[in-house]
Amino acid sequence: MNRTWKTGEVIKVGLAEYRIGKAPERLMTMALGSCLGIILYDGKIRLGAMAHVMHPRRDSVKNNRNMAKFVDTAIALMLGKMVREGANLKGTVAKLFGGAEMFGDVKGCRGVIQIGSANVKAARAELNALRIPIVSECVGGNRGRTIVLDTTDGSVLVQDAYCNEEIY
Amino acid sequence: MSSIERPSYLKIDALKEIGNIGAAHAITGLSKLLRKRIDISVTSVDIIPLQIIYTLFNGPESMVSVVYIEGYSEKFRGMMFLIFPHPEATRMVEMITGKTIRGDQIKDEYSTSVLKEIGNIMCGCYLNTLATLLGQKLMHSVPQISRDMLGAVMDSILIDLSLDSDCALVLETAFTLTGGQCKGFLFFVPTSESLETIFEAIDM
Repeated sequence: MNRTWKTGEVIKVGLAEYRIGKAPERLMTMALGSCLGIILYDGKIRLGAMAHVMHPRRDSVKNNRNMAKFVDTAIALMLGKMVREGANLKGTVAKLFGGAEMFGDVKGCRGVIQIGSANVKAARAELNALRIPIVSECVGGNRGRTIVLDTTDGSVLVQDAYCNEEIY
Repeated sequence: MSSIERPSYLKIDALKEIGNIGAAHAITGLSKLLRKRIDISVTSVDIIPLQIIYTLFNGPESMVSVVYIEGYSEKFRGMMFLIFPHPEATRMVEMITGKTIRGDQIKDEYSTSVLKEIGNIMCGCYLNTLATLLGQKLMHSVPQISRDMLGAVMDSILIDLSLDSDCALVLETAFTLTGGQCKGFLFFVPTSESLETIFEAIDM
């Protein structure tokens, strides 16, 4: 397995942040639980963007100043920045990761903890409306994920807490 | 950024005392269960940006066991979590069951259930103490457990808190088994409305 994914020059994407990167840069976000990692990638100019979002919709939340926190506004932000860097919407594809339910069954608590699947659903709908195809995804379940995007070819390494690795 | 107003020093001190009493009861519960002495640190009370929780231990990817319980009444809602860093949780289960767990992984139902019960006892003691202080009945949810990367486990809880604010008031107590072989952390995070309930109950 390629061990150099996470070492060397890696741009880290924190909670409720987004970043873009050009080949040969790599983008990484750590420990996605219910949060969703959204990746947009234009293979022609080898430009990628990654966001670590927390909520499905911006207008349903009171504390909403940070646009990168929400599925709908983060996608718009990323696309805007990619287009300014020369990306073409038609050639852009998306990949989704995360959106797990970390505490399995918490019906006793408030429903908001079941937010993982709501995030995934919102992202699919938003991307569908923009006609950006989702070429691969690894979502749901009850495990955390760390993801690394290699902008040279758009491939994504997904790693879980037990160091299982998969490439998407 | 909408944020929580910082309570006065007097109120912070009162919260610290509540945290200390709650934690002391919780630790006594654990100590009885293990028949071992346990040292606790003084509870720290602070308003922290939610992301800071990510930087605990060895960063967001460090492996932890988290037991999560929510305490609630009509005018109160608080989240409690008991966090054991990765090898500590295994050690804890071994100490209680007297069995050796091969490797460092807890996967079976039985060990998971032991951890849940530890969480249940400790958080239950803490919340009961709080209920007595508040003079109210406090219900609590069944314990939920997750064993995964710290960041991944915490983000579902952070999502809930971040709806209202990017900061939260956190009461944190660390404890160590005498001899230092096992460490754990208890966190209590009341919602901002619940803080008012607490201050009202203690006439502040």
